[in-house]
Amino acid sequence: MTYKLCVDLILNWLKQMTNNLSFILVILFLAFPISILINFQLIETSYLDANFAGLSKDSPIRNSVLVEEGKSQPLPYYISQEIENKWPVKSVYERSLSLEVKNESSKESKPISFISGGFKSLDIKPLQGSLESMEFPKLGQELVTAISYIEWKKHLKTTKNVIGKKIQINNKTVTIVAVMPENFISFRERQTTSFVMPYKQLPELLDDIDYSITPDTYSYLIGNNQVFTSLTQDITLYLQNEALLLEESDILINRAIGVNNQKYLTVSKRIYLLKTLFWLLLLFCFIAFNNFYSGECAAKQQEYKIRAFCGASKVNLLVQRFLDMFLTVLLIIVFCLFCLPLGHYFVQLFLPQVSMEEVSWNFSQLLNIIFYLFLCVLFFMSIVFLIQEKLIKTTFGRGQSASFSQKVQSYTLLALLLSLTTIALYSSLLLLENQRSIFKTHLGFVDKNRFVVTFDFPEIRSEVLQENDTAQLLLQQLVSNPEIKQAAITSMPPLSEKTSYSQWFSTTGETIGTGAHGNTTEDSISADYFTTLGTKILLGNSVDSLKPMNIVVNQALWDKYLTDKTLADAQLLNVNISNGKKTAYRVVGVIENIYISGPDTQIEPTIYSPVFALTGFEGLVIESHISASKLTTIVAKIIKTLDVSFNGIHIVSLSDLIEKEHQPRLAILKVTLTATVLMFIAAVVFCFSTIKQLTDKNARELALRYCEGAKLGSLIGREYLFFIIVFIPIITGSLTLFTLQSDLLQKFLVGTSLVNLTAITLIGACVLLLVAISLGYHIKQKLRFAWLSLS
Amino acid sequence: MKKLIILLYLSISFNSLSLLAKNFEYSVQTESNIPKYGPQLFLFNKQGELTYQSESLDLGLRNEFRKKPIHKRSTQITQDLLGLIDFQPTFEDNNFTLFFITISPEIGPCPPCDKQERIINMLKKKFKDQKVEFHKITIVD
Repeated sequence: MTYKLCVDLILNWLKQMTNNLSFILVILFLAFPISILINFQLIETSYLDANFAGLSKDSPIRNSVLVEEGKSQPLPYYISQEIENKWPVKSVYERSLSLEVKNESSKESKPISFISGGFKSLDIKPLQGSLESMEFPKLGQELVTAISYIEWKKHLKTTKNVIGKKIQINNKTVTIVAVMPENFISFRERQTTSFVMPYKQLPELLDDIDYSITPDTYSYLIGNNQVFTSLTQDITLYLQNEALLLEESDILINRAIGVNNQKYLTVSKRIYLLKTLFWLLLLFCFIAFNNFYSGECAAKQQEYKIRAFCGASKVNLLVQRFLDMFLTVLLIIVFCLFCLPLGHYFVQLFLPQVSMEEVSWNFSQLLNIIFYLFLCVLFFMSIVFLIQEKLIKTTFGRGQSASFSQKVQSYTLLALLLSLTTIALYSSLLLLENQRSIFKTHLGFVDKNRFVVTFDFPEIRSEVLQENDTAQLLLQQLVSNPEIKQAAITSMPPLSEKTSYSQWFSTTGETIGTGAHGNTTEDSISADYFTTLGTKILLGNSVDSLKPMNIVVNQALWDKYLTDKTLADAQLLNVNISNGKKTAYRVVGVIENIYISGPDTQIEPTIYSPVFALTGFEGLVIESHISASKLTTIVAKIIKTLDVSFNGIHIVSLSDLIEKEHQPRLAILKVTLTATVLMFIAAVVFCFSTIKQLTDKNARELALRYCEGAKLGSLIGREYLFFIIVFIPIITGSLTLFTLQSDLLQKFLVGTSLVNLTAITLIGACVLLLVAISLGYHIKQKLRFAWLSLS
Repeated sequence: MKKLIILLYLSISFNSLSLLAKNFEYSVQTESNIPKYGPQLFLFNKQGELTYQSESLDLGLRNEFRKKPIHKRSTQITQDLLGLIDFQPTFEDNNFTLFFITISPEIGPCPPCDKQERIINMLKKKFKDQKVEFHKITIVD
């Protein structure tokens, strides 16, 4: 009996669902942001999963990173020591290297992981032998290693007793003390390790007494979860108070084990922003779903009442309610799974720097998410159903009309949806306008076939402080190469994040530039810098290496400080820092503004002075049609022939730098546009469906009023007024909230004002028009068949 | 009246604090065994012995104040360093004396020097009650 009833009810639900396309669409809208958020969760989990190191999810280890000027690096020893002194944690370093390993039968280069210790705390138990001697050994102890399971199986399994066996690593005799467990692959993600050795023995193995931490080293902390919570909260402030950390630096403690820190930080920051956006979209879709579902609930309630009148028992009705809800939740989950690949594609679009091949999909994690999602949706739907049943009055039978509570509920949800859509449309419009102005901004240079050459930060040697003719020599040699069309020297190459400052004043004593001490941006350039970059000279000429007292300024400086002068009498004063004496320099040219840090940065008044000697701080700008790699070879060869202190050449094309600079903004724009388009479509659909549901409920009342002589306009106006009364406080509240939280959007807007009254009024008018059209259409439709509602 | 006394006290405190630090210049033309690059640090104990020397940026400078061993070339380096300045520091009046060599911005930008100076300024606040004297030597043209 119950079985038959269940089958009957399931078939009934399926029939209703297949005929209710709007509901399926609503579920699809709900499933899309959920699938995107699941994808984000899986990416995060993939980054945080350290199974490859034989570590469980709850292993008491955390990655610790020092972030300086946006760049991550392992913790320096002095910070680790301070942390160990203050908190009950152990500091661990890990570095992976390929070194030559020689045993009786072979000699080849093998990957070796060097780790300080912590095997016992991390519950890494060896398959054979003991890791005791590898736990934080002291200097001078015998060199020891643990062989990985794969290496042992491949080469030494035939050897009866591998423990105690001696091998040669980097020509040093090392004793094997253990075989690592089978589930240990490496301490680095997507790498394998043949041997594990104590980190402290690395200097001895490399014959490097002055060994210091290298950037490819990872630093970790081993402790317990409570300590980590306190550490994460207090560490940065504590170290700053102890004068061990600069204000702009930060210590990050996270769960990313064996992962490239820089990439993890970039990706996690972006994911945080995207997650915020998609949570907002989910909120919108959930309100929309709620709106529609409560309408459906009203219809269902009528169905339950009819079934009760027909003799259905309370148990039968309860079973039906449960099945209806359960099957709907199941449908939502199925749609979410169906949308997962689509979400995967979109995430790839939003996060161009994440290679999706690197993301390993954890099936158990996915099941976990699905299970919790199921429970959440079931809980929310039960709440909505309960509210509908207990608080919302549903009329039934003849004389049917939408109750006041039903109207308030429907219009409130509709107003919420439309308010969110208004704000989303407005934000997208601002972002689009911003991107348009950024693309339109002329950067003040040509990027085609232009390359920026930068060098590592030099050590200052006394001899390079003396003037010499290395600058001219370098340029002559570069230009004499047939592959190089033009070349120039600059101390601030575009988009290279290099800046240099000095102190300049106008002849009236006004400080040029910004900052408390009058920092003026000054670029030391060679004469042909502007022609190489394709920058227009608006007035006069470029600098000349033979005329050291002549300078060139940019348009921003000219407009602000010299606008009332002619080029003939334009002068600026430079301050000699050691004696405070001011020297007058003649302005011989004005150039268009060069956006050296990208189109969304403010243009600083800049002075261009001639460069003479090379100190190693300078960079180069080259025009050439060949590739960056070929150019690197040519430049390196030329640099070698000169006595200049340039180390580590980095050559990047200007086009690549511009593209890279645009990437984060474009990704945010893509996400916002996708979310807005979805919200807009959803808003239109829900607006029509909500008003349809409401006019359906109100059909008899409308028909009666119409028959009593009420005009179409007054019927529409009555409903519209009701909506406006609900809409005004909600849109006001939403706009206030948006203004309070506008910082998030403001960061991405450059030269575009956050307040655009015309745009917000237009969007608001469109939204109101949409409601008016929808009301007009549905009421008119109902009145055309008024006799049906009255019969 | 109360305000005047406070102002007087503040002015005296400010003057005595500013007397602690001295600025010197080190010309690139000067012949010396002390290298002409920055940042460089020299830390002396109460006895005027060099306990720490660095020829590069040291953000963990605070930890060096805890170390006791005397530098192997303490006498020679101290002699070279004091040869640069026309001033005889009174080491015994302080627990520590720090000399910091930086480069004049006129010669060229030196971001590590700026960072080191900021750390030293933080240390000045941290050690304001612990008798530490800070001196700055600027390399000039």
